[in-house]
Amino acid sequence: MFSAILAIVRKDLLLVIRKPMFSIISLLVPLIFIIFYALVIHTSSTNPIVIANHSEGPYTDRFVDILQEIKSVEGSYLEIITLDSELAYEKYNSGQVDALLEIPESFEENLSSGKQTALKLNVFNINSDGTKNFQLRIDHALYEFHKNLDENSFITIDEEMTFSKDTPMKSYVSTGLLIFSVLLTSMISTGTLMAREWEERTAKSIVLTPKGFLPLIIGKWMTAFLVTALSTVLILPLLYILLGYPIGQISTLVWFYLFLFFLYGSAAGVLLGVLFKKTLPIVPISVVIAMSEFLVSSLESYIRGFAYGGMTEWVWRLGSWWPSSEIIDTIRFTVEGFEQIAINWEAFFYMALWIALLLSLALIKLNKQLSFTQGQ
Amino acid sequence: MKKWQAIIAIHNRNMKILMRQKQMLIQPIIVPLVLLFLMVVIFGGGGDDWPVAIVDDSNSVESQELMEAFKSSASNITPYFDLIEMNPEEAEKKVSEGRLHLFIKIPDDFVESKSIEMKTYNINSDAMKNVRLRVEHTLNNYMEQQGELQVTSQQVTAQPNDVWRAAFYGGSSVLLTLFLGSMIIAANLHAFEYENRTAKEIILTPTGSIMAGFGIIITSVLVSLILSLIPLTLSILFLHFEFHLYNIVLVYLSIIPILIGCAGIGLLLGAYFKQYRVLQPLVILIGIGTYIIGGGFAGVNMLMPLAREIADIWVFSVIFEWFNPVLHNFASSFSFSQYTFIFLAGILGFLFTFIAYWFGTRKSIFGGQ
Repeated sequence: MFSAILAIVRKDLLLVIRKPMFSIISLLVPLIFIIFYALVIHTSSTNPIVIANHSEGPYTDRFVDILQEIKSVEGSYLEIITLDSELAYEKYNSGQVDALLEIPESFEENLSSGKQTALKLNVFNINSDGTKNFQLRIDHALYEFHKNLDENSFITIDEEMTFSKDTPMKSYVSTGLLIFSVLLTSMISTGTLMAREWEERTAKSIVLTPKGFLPLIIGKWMTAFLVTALSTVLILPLLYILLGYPIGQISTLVWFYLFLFFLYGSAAGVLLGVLFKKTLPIVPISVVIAMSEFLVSSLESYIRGFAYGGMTEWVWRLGSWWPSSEIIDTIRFTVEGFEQIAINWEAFFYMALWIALLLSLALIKLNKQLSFTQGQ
Repeated sequence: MKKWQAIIAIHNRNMKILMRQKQMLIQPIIVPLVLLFLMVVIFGGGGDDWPVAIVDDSNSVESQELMEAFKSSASNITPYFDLIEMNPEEAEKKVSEGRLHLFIKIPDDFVESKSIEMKTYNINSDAMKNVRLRVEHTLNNYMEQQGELQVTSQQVTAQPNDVWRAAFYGGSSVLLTLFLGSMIIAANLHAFEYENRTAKEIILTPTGSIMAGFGIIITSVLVSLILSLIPLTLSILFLHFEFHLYNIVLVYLSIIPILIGCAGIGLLLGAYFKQYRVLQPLVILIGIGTYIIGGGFAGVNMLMPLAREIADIWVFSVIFEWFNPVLHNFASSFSFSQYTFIFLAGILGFLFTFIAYWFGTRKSIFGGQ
């Protein structure tokens, strides 16, 4: 039995060495996806804007300072590309930037004489999200500006937070990206390793061996494990460098949970492999499953707060019942240092059940299809 | 004439292959649709209204005016708050469980203290940015109504109505289906010859193997145009996508040379990698990557400086950056330089096809042939 498993692993590794392109691409896909995501996640915190400042004086300086200073735990709210009026109009009118804030010439004089003054915010409103973000950021700057201007009429906010600090969005998302990468790599590796046996007409001799199906499945899992482990080793430093993910906080139990996700991905991969027997549909289906886990399960604790009505509530409910969500949150809270990790036995049980179900379905399918055509 | 017959024959054969091997159509249909569905559901396709709990313990004229300010506070598309809880115990419970991100309490001494209390489930900075900035926006509105806000802001938008973010995602999904579809269908059809051991027949045909390439280009462009009608229809029906017939026709006609270019790239990749399992992750990655950093998720102008620089050199980003404004009626035509680029993309597509088949004829065929 053990020698049969080793033979399968040795054969697959030999294929990897002889034709490394697929393995290289399997490793690169999650890496590049993370780089892409790291580049775009910035939009949730910082928005580029140009400012046409026509006013001069202490009030103006204070307001411009506030525009430059306002920020969240993640970074500045605004990236001020220029304060030069001429350049600001040029960039906005040529479509190089989506927002232009005009500070009127009368700004200083009006404030000095206690008169009301209005700023003009020009927005290229092709996406309502951007329009809203600019409006709210400028309002935040105005709120901060008035804090110093007139303390008596100013309404203050006393905030009580559930967690001691806000988790930066990029760090929050990193746990999901890590799970995405483990799932995707393990699913594609196992799925294509299985399907390859049919595509290269070697399935018959492997499936009909007196040793049974177990050496085949475990052998494929072992090869996929090596690929997934290598991928994870490459991804962790990338998450640390690009998204500031605190990889030093990853404990033994977090590794255990990651291994559980590897088993989940591999079980799904085996099922996809025996179901389709072709690599053609395996890759897109794996991408869809991993993306859905990333967007639904890993963001469940975020979606929960606004999932009222419509499809969003249905998707959230699905995510909240799914064991991945709780496990991902446990990993997240541990890595962020919010709570000591303890095995979530309920989530673990359901995840183990899910893996067993996927595997059983794959075995049933293997058992049912023992006839071979196409020259085999 | 014979060459045209060969091209049409290959196209007809390709259509039959696609009808029989439906898994070849899975990627260009499912990837953009799943991406669209998840983006709309998770990133607030319904609008800007954030569920909150608000309790007024003051019951003064001022507090009631503030309550009104919360209720009337709105973005350009929807109200900013969806008041779903007014019971303080329930609100406390929901915030502590994370079922609500924000609970606002107007205290009984609001008139004297001029302060409000806020309890947050601060799961991440994005949620908190959204709730805190909405509250400050409302307080500014309230102070403005009271005549106590000295500096206000007036918004001037490029078009009278905002494009809903769901409609923006919908438009991007249409463009993703078009270019991903044409690239991946061409790559798959080329790889099909190797995976199914028919490459030799194509290469040894007396009309020249390049005709097969032209046939694949026709199929890829045609099928991707047809498939893109799925996200387009869904966007019009469910995602507030405004239908501008002239703009849509202009986009569909003008994008054809780019689709030829994408099909040419697909053929090149197919010729080089030959196997589905290598081609697919690569092409899907190009598609999703372009969607994320090339202006599909948010305009390139909204991205960080490094991403903007990458988008400047990543040619595929022109698909979203040029075509989305026309699709949403923010532009009614393309500039001369854009048309020149689009035309060149088509020429390149044919050039890539020549290269792809030149590669194929220079190698011997194995694998049972």
